[in-house]
Amino acid sequence: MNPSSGDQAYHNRTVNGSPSLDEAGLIRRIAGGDEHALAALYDRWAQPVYALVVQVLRDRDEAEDVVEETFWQVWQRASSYDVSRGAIHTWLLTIARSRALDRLRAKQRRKGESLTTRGDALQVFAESDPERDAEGGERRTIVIAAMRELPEDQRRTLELAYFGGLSQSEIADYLRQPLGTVKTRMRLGMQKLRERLGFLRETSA
Amino acid sequence: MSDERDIPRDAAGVPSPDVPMTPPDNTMDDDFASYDLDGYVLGALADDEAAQVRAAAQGNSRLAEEIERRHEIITQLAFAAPVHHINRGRSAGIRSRLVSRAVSSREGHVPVSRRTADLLRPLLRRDPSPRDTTARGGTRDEARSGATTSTAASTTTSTTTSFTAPLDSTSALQLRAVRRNYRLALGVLAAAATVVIAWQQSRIAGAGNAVRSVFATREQATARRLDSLLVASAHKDSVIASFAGPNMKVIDLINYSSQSPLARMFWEQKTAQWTMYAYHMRQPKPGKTFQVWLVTKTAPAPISAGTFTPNPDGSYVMHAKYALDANALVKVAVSEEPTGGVPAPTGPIIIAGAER
Repeated sequence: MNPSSGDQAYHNRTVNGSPSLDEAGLIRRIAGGDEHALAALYDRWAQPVYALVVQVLRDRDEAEDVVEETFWQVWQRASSYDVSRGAIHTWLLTIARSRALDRLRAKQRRKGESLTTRGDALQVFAESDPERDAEGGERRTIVIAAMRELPEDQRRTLELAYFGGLSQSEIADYLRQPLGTVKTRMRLGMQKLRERLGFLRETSA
Repeated sequence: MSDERDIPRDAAGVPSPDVPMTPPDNTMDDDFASYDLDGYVLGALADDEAAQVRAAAQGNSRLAEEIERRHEIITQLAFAAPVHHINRGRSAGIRSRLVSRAVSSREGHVPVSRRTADLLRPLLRRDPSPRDTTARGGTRDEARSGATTSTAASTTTSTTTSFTAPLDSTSALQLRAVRRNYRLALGVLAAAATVVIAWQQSRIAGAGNAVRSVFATREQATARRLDSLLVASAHKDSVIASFAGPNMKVIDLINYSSQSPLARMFWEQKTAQWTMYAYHMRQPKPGKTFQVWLVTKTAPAPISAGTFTPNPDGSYVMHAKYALDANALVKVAVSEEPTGGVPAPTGPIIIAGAER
């Protein structure tokens, strides 16, 4: 199967065969104790959540645990979630990233390592590979293109922070740059991303 | 993704970040310049800096909205993560566990419904479906058939055309007749060839359909088997989830003389399910049976939870359903009683125990 089309089909699949789901409605149903709504949300978002968590943890078995924890947390907290706050997937992916980083930090504490020891493994955008970049849908293509347009130092700062969970101080240590420089790179990079990706907020609800 | 249909595209229809999308809105950057909001949404600030931003956002809805806005932007980076495909079988397992945990948390141990099994099926269905394959096979057959007919027709035309060369005028009538006959013969031959080819194709297509039908039947049988395994697995997950849940109480029933545990009772309060695992039980005397009793603070006399006769190896698993207040249970006991049981205990207590 063509990975791209397969992935697209995976993203598009819904329980009812409908091309789109009312995610706010799903969250309301989950809050009301409807396990089928949880299953539907899982069907729609398990794949992107898994991809993010694997990127953070670099461990597929642990990533599966985190995916389950993430959706379980959605089940438990759905009643307190304000659907007017924004896209549901923002909430979902934020939970997934937090849980993945928690687990990563715990693992590295056990091993006596610091997060910066894996900095080199976090070069998500280091090499352009059009075939791989095209996998996973248009949104991914757009985000990767926007990241690749950033100057290398800004891009590196953002990927170390987002996928590596490094603080600004840790990034400064890792890159051997002053803290102020890291803050500036982060601010400029984010400013450009807002310009490039702002429209995705409007199409994501 | 379906929600990407509104993504701006360039002239060729390719989604492009070069197309002007949203006008840059940097006013907020100036308004909140004193806070490192980008560091905050990335979770990259030192604790004291992050606490400052949190405190400021609590009393400032515009700042809170701006943080939310930036949060949504940075979350887009998640989509840039390299695509790692989750194993479908394991994903189905995660889904199944989530559903059973959700059911357990909502109302305790409840068997997984058929609808849940139906929900699981799409994850495991192989694409393309047999029906799709058949449809495409048919289309291919049709295309092949069309192509052959077209080739035959083209051959006919080509051959006919080669007979339109100049001819001797004296034999014109005869030649015209020959040509007419020849054309007729060719037409008949072409028609016969078409019929033979169509017949052969129909045989091939028939054989193909038979093979597809066998595979489709096998696939349906496999899907049914998979469904039943998933339902069984979800059921076990549900039992495990309820055993591990906070509402489970465990009571060990021990023999008074040896003090060694001979039975363990699991009481799922939410669903009022009682499950007792008994081991090393002797057989009751002739005309007798063992009867289980719940001694409570609320009832004036012990409540019968059922009778049982152990298996030859002395083990027994007993299930009962009885609703009881969480704090009402004092003791669980097993006594030896006349066959059929009695309304109140009369015989000797064999094992008994209180909640741990």
